[in-house]
Amino acid sequence: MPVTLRAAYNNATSRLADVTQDMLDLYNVVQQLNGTTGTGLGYVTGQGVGGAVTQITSRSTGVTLSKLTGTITGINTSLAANAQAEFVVTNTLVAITDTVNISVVSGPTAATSIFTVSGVTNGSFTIRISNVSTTTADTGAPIINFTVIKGANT
Amino acid sequence: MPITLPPSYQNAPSRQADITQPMNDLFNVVTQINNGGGVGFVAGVGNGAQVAQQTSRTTPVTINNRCGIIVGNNASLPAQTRASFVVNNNTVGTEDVVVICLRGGPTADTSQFFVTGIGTGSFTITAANLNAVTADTGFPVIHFVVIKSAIT
Repeated sequence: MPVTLRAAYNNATSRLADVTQDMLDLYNVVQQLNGTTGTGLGYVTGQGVGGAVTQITSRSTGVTLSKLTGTITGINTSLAANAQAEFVVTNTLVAITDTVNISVVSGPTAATSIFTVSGVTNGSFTIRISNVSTTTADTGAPIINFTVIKGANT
Repeated sequence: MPITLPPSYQNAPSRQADITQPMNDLFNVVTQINNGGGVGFVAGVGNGAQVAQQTSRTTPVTINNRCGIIVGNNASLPAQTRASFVVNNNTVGTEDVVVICLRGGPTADTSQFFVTGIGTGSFTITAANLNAVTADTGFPVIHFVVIKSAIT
């Protein structure tokens, strides 16, 4: 997060005589967000904010995972060269003004499919799989990480 | 970010007599997140860095930061081909999402860039030249941000 604290907080952990516990707590929160030793942007594991789901039946079968972050394991039915498929991720935490980011962990047959978010609406988003190879089918089971970033238009 | 504070913090800067200084400081932090500079990392404190890719479009790079810029190699990428390279980054976990954004560089209407792999300590970027006839001979400039994720 691009957040900063006023100068009184500088090096708070080494100046316990100068700062209150509340100041120290706030300093530590900001360090977790911004600090070079912090965990950075995103979500904490082990708090129930994330989940995992597996797609069944086909590459166009919808999945449901109402979490702000998680992993989707897609199905490995063959996706022909130059073919595309889409599936809906039903997620009650998604709003039409949000941004959903995805990263493919692994899975697709080498040099075949690319994955993009092709739709966002209230309660769901859509992932498109485009096999951009002109010769090779994708027969891999993709593992896709996602995070929901809340947005606004007001 | 959808962070809110209790009602006692409302309009904190104008109510100095009612609140403590740490409450005011917390109010200001939350305001910076929600109404200020937005989501992201602060410049100048070591969060970001820049690296250039040497030799070829498949040469790995190492940048152990949670955000930064990768200047890719400009070796010719023929039409309808792709090239992948590993970004070694010890801040990345296997459940994370890496967001990339192309600033510029590729020959017009040629390559698009995707994250095609995540592992503990690295991620993979693939350049896919989707043009049917034109090679990409540009230096891509790619921004990235690591977003921590979870499955629990």
